[in-house]
Amino acid sequence: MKRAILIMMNVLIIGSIFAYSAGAFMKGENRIGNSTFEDDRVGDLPKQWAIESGG
Amino acid sequence: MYRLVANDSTAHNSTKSANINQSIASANANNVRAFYNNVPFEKNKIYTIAFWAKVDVKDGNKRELALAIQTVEDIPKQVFIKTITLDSVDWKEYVYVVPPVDIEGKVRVEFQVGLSPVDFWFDDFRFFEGETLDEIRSETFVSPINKIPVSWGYIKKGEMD
Repeated sequence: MKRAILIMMNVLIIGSIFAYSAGAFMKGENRIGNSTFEDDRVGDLPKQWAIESGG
Repeated sequence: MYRLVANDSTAHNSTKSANINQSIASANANNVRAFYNNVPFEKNKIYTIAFWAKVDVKDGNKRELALAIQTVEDIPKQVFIKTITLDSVDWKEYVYVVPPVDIEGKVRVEFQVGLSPVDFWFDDFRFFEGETLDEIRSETFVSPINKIPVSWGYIKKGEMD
């Protein structure tokens, strides 16, 4: 019985870790990874952002 | 003609911001897009786009542009679009609520900047599920680099007075 509970707890913990690492966002959590540009080099295109033209 | 670059001449609450500049206007707003790609989006939920921006202090002109969300697909679906005007030479926060739609998947959140000659800075760009009150504020919104010397200056000034 104890073993079954331990296995179930492990499954829940590992499942939660996988769900989090898969990119799940909480309500209210910013989904823009580079929003303040602090790690970008001045004069360069900000990381993860892009600019394009067309039409 | 147009550029999106990191910039350290001005920032909202830290040391850097992003600058978009364009010298010649295009015929359509969607001719030039600055965007952030592959953002997870679930259907039938309210989202909020919020950011800080300021226009070029040298001319003070208003900047008309469109804020849009589109799916990342070969034939993208439009999730949201709103024409907005940036009208402040000081840092100002712009907040827009995206109503629920029956679309889900990865999206890109973008500025469509071809409506008028564009020269503006933006910073603290957020896109989150929920409305303004639901926002989980990041630690980076309070920069100790700027706050501590300023606070210490006030303390010292108070002591001297």
